[in-house]
Amino acid sequence: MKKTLQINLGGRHFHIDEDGYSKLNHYLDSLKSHFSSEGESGKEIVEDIEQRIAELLENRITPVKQAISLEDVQEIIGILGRVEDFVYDGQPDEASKQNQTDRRDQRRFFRDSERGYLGGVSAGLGEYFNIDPIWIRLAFIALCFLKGLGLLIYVILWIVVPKARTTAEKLQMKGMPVTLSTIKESVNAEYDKVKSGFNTMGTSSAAERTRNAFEHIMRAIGLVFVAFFKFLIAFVGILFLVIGSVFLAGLVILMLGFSNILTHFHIWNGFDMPDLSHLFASSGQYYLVAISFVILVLIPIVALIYGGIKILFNIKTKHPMLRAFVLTAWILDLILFVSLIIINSTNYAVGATGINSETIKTNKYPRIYVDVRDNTENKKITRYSVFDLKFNYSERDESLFSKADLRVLPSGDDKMDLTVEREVKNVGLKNSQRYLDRIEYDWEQDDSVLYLNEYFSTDGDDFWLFADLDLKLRVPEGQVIVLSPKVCDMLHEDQRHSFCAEDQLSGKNVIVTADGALMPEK
Amino acid sequence: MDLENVKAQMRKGVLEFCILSLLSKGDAYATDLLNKLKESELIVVEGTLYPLLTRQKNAGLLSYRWEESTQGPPRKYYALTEKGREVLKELQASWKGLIDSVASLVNQ
Repeated sequence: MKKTLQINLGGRHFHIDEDGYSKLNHYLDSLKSHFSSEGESGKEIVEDIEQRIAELLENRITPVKQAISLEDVQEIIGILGRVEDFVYDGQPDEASKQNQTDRRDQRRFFRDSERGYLGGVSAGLGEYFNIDPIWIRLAFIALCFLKGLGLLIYVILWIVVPKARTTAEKLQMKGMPVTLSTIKESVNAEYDKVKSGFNTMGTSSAAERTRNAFEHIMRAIGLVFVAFFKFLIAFVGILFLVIGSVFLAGLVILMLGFSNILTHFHIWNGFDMPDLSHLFASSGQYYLVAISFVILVLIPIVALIYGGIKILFNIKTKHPMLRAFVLTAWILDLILFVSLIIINSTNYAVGATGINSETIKTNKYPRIYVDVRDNTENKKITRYSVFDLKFNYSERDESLFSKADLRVLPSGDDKMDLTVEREVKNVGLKNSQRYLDRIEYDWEQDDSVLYLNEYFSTDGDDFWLFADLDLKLRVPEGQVIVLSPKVCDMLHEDQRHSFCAEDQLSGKNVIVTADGALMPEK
Repeated sequence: MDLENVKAQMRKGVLEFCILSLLSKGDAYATDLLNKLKESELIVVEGTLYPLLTRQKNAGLLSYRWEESTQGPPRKYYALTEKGREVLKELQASWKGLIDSVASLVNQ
């Protein structure tokens, strides 16, 4: 609810909101005092203008909107202009000076579409900083080489910054160069505004006296305060811009990694950014997650940059509808993202094992020799460790090599065989077979000698699989085997302790007992 | 040199000339004039017009009469006086002269 007043203006009656009335009254007072030096004709001028105001106000009355609001009054003052904006021959020097300080005071950053090539952003910035737009264009082009940052900033400014449409806006766009003296002027102008605010508060003589005392103190405090406040605002604006830009750059890099556009783009100690699409149930879900993630991060970043620009350039536009829409979109996106992650993480924990058993021909060999081949020789292996995970990465093969785990067990019958168990974790059920097939392991039998590869290999992109390979050599009772010392490195922990460290059985004839222990041949 | 001042003076001179020209085509009230001047972007803020009209009237170039309007209170209609017509003729001549000399100067 608002209190309205009834006024008579130019022979017409209006209902007007209280704040609108005081603004209008203030405006008319400024006109009156300005033209008062011209006597009768000054009065006539003000009356003519009142007439025009009444005409404009009348156009704003509709059946649903009967009262004049503050916005109406502000708009009309914009149309008629303030006294300082009038072109007249009163005191020209004073007038134009006043004109300029006021304009500096309310200078805005607009896009100058008349002088611009694209959106007029550079031309508008040129007007704002009073430099040739060619430098700003060059700066934008230079920034484009920083992963297209310039283009992005340009497009954002194009969307965010309003175009100078009316002639008044076009004038607002221009201002005096920012020098020490103009800054001082603008600070003084600001101080005067504060002072005039005080003036309207009281008109009694007592108030007048205190005002005089206040004046000196206020001038000092006002100067410091205004300067500090302006600095603070500019600082916050720049901070917003910088933080927003850094996040934006990070996001761009992440997106490039996600889609593997630049596969030669080595991050993560020489690995390509992982193709995370394997982690999700389907590639469709992966793209949905990626897009919703980008939106989730992008909205706050853009809001931050937008806020920074608004603060820095003193743009005072409000789009409540847009704000509500963006906020709703962000919340919906958050819900979508979280649900997708939950849905996908349920099958993420699934692992799979593939077992493959092959018989070894014993051919009544008195002894079977087990030897180990280092299949990473000549592979140019680089060893990485991430926390306590160790990776042997071959640049040339683009493969990861990990040690296979060997156990020697009693077979319980007269057959000898080698079982290769491949295991992958962190894959969905759907993908398990595909990844099991990608684990490569070789061994061979040459008469009585078994050659086991020390390492199995996986695709370099699949390091997140945490793949595992277990070898089970099953030996019939009574079969004598000879394990080379190198086998120690591959043996499963339990057997390694008893076999390699204490008994020094490597290279000697051993048999496997029924309970799985390795014993020297009697 | 105060550029803003020069611009203001130029605009003011041209505006006065344009007001007289518009009124030579027929009587008009302030809003008619405003609409035409704003169309051709000669006026930035409407308030500029009123002091000029009053001063021209005081100089005897214009006269006005009150005319009833179908909507709202009576309107102030301005008309050119005999003196106004003479001044306009003079201004037209000097405007033409000015344009020609500037054009020849610039095209040299």
